[in-house]
Amino acid sequence: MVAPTLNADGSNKAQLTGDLTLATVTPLARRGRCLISAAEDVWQVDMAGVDQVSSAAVALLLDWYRYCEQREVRLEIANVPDRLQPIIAISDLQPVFTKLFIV
Amino acid sequence: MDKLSIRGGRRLDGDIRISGAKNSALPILASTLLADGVMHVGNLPHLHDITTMLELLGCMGVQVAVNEDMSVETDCGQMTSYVAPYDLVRTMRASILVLGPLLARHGKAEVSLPGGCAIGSRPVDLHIRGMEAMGAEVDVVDGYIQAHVPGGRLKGANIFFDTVTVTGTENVMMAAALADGKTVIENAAREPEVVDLANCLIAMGARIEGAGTDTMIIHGVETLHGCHFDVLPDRIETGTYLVAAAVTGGRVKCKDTDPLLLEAVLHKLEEAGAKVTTGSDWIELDMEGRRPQAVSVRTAPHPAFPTDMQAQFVVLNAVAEGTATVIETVFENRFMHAQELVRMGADIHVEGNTAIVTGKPGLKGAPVMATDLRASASLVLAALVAEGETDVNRIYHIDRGYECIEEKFQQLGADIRRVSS
Repeated sequence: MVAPTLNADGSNKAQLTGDLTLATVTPLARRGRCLISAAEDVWQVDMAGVDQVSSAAVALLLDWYRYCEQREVRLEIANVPDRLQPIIAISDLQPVFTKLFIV
Repeated sequence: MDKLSIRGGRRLDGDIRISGAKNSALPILASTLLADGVMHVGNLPHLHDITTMLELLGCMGVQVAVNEDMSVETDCGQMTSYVAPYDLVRTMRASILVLGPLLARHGKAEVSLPGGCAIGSRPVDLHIRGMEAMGAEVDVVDGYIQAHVPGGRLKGANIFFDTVTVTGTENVMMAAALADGKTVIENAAREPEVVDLANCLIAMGARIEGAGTDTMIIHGVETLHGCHFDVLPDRIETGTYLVAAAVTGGRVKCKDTDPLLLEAVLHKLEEAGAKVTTGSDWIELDMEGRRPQAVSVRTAPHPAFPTDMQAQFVVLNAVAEGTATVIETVFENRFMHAQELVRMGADIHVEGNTAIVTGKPGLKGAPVMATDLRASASLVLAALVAEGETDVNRIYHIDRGYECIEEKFQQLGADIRRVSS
């Protein structure tokens, strides 16, 4: 198990790393909300450093998406791991996430 | 509403992977309610009922996660509710399977009564009587089974089922696993899915003897722990694809399955003239271009010929050489596919629980309507043989039991597509 981290990269960006599972995402959700609160207009999270994922990762991104909407901040998600895509698909959440992903 | 549009006449040829069995996955997911710790369940089919069961667990406060390998992880450590609400139960009768685990683990449960069913009565009385025998007090109020256990822990009991019931056996087995003392289930269901659940419970620390026989003995334990468990392959999906090969004169190899799960079906397919070869986890059927011979079957509880393969064998006989009888002894009102097959040119006479089927060299495409899961599968099989195009409507039935059915048939060379309307 690789402990996850969420580190700010300037006020509008953050790097997400490590394993995103049921056991690890709860503190990340809170940390992400803090960073989103400080962001203006757009907040980009880069998942290039993410290792293991589960639907807990999808729940985490959904939580941030809802919080961004409340704060009128646009969420952008970069470098989404390929192995997260089937979980998003079986959760019927492609319509929600596709518009958030950036290449 | 989606439909399947099928142009028949192609001989199937290819390999497919068999999915996990829904009828095993649902009770095993319900059994995760018994675990003190995290459960990992693998080889789950991606079907709507599985999602509904996960939703049901989630609405009771169970933490559920889907992992990268599509296995599911559950943690019941922070449950907030013991209610299975009508909105979920009405879409999935198997929701009743949470009754036993909830009573055993928490001493209380409230489960909506399931609604009617197209293929005959499947009463929940046997489940309720089983729980009462173990000391639960049960009332039916406003469409809900409201049950609680005075003293908090169920007690072992001798339970005789006057009708063989798969879900009833499973519910009582799960409840008994955590009950105080020994439970004996007589006239227990012997289906492989019951054995799979027993194996899962044993992996969680339960003490169960006699799974797969008609007498099961369960010695209750104080707690059950989490474990990894992969559900067994779907024997009915396996059988359906093998019959598809047989009726089209083709060859299909089913991988990731278990030939021991469907010996009665394989025997009948060989009797129909198919060349069947098996390995430890695969089955290949090659019809070598021949037309099947008619074979009579009589459905009965496992290990006899399964009722869930009856409709497929009606189709096999409809295109076979000769006349055969298909006798349904498990469920009433389960020949609704016959009338649709007659519309495609089949020669079928239904009298009571018996269908007399005289084979014809071919069927003709027609718009048909699915009425239940296995009936739908039989219409797809008929369409694969029929001359011309067949539209199978109301395929939400088939989507409940067959994962990626059109993709799998396409892999085998069938001309089949899903049409959304």
